[in-house]
Amino acid sequence: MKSNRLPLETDLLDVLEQEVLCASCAKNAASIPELATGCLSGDTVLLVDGCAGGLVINSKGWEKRAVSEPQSESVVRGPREGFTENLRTNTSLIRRKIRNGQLKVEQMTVGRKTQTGVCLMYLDGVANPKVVETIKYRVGKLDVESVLETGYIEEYIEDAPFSPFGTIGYSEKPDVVAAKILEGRVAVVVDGTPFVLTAPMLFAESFQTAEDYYARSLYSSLIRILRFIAFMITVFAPAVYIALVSFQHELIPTTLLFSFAKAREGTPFPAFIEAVIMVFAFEILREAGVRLPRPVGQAISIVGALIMGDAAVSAGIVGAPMVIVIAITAVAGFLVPALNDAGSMLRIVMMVMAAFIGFYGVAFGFLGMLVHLATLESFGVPYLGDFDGDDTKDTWIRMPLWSMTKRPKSIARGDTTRGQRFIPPLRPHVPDEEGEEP
Amino acid sequence: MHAHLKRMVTIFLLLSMLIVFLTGCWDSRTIEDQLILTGIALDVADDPGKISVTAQAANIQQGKAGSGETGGEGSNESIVMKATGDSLTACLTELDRDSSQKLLFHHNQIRLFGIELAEQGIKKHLDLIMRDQKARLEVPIAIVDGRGEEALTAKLSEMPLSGLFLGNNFEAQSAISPQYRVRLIDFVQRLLDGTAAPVIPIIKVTGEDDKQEIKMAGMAVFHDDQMIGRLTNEETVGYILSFGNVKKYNIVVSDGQNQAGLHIATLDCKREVTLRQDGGIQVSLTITSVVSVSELHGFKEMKPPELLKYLENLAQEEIKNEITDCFSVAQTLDADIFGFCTMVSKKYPKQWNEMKERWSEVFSDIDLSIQVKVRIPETGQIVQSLEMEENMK
Repeated sequence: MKSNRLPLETDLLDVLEQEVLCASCAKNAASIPELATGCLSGDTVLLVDGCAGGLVINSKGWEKRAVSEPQSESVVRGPREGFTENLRTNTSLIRRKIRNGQLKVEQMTVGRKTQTGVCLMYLDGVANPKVVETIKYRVGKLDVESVLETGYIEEYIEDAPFSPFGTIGYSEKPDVVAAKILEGRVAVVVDGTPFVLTAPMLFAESFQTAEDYYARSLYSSLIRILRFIAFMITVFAPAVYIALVSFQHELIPTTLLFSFAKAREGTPFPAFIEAVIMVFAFEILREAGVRLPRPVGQAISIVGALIMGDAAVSAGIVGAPMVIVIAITAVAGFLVPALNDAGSMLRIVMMVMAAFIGFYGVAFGFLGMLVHLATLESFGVPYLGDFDGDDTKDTWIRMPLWSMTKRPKSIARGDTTRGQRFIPPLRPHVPDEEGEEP
Repeated sequence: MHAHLKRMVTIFLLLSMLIVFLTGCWDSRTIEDQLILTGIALDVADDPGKISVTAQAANIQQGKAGSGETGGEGSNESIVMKATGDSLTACLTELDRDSSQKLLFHHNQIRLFGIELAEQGIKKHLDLIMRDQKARLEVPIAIVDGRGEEALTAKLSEMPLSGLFLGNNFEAQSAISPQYRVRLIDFVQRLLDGTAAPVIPIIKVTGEDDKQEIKMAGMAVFHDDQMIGRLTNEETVGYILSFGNVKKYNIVVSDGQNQAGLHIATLDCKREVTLRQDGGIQVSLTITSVVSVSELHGFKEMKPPELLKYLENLAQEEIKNEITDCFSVAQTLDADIFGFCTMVSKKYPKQWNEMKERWSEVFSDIDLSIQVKVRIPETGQIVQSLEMEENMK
């Protein structure tokens, strides 16, 4: 067949492709299998009489979910749109936030069987080229059969697979991802999932939410600090209680000691076993609540609250203070959803340490956690890199936006200035009545 | 990577095994196995040379938290145990042996000594308390007018645990002046100063079987570790004032017909010693105080400005008298409760060596001069009393 091809006829397909068709992607295919694959994947195949080969014109269209409010990361104030399962929709959602030529989208395909489309998005000249290269290299080297969710890619390219702390962030909201891209991070959009990865990820990012930047900075700072405290509570509260009750009684005020002792009196298990029972019961309830349909989930929480809270105490299986401790632990954990899983694991470690040697153990656990955090790196950026110099403006507290004139030092390279001018908002510039500039 | 993983797994397994097999948790003391002591009292035993120890502990079985039942009548909120032995160690061992729970000393609120034991000397019984890290030096001590155990068995209506009551009471008193609460560490410090006389508050249990009360009954004055005398509650006031650092204390002044209650907001005292030509010493106390009027009786013919002046003078006299009275009691007891000797030894270390030998002679001859400066900036919510208003009309 190939020998029959005439130069003039070949030109006809080229002319059609380049000058007639208004499709975003059309390609000249010469072989039958190529044309068949195109046809099967929803493209239109254009065959012209007399021409060898044909055109595969991109005309894929399928049912897709509309852009809707995401289930996680809901906000009171701020955009409510969320990513969908469609790659193109997702990239266009980000593109709509950042209308700048510097925003690069690099298309890749991953997965031998699934041939899933993956897009890297970053701001050229702001993102660290080394990070971009690393991510591109790691994604490009991926030799996997399938990619069904960003989690697949995350597991293959992350720096610390055995750490309880994640070194790659993810979000379901275009505004969050756009903000991260603007700070110099790289987003990895994967076809078929509404979750978008962002890297590098730093520890303080877990404590930041979209709304921090939409609400007033004082209030955001307060909530930010609260989140740090809540994280400490969710990791350490049961351990501290165990240490207090089994080792360091002298740290409890006398009258509180009496009520602790009264509550513990008659409960059959040591404090550690009691705490383990309660923590596991809570994890079971939580897991049950997550997977079940919503109406059933409510029933679960009622049963959980009644049986765990009240019946366990009056039956004398666990003491009342332990129920309070576990309750505050559980609730505090929800303040920092990004670290919820890390918190659950660390909590048990700390409990074991406390049961082992009391506060000494808890202190060891805490130091161990700090050391571990300090050794972590995400794509060459220290995990605690935020807590350094100017970057601290957006960690423990959230400084006013006008004071954050620089992009994060640890992440952005090249164009690191957000805004040139510092605008003191206390004395806004108002021209005189005559319109003269002072 | 594989070697690395293998090592990680090995370390993890090793650690888990260590935790499982090595956790004798030998230091673990679960709370419910502890007998939380709230007070301990030392007395002389009937057998000569022995002491008896009474320990008061909270009864956590009673009125369980959450179950809603309160003590009710005849409730045993406290457990009182008694042991007799040659030494404190022997007594505590006996107490521990006879109880199903371990004694927990950390939360002990008070240490009491019977007056008889105090007169014999308490030095030798302090060693264990000071040596043992579980027993804190910061716990207040007191002398019981009678036997020490009385205070621990007392059934108070205010608080079922008398140990807790005493601890809280001394805490509250120490807000007025730190001198009101004598902790073991304060006592020992005085004891080590040698010539200074330690002072410990005295408490007294009064009332019948069910309605008992514990009252403050002045201060016990010690010579070395033996109680040699006591200050009454009135004489104690002078002692307290002479140290300064008094806050929120009330005094009553009177000029014969008229009476005024005054509230000392703050009172500070600067103490100074100087050597006299004849080898004695001169002590000058400079007291500055801010006082407010809390009650007026009489003063009918006075106008507010002159009244305040008058009251200031009365208050100055009163403070001066209190201290002088207390000082003369101290001189008759030959006990340097004010700690003047420490001031001398610090300021004149050379002369002190020689003076130490004849300190009691020097002390009885001390020249005490007291300057009091009282300021009354306000009269409370009203200026004149109703009686004064009547007189004006």
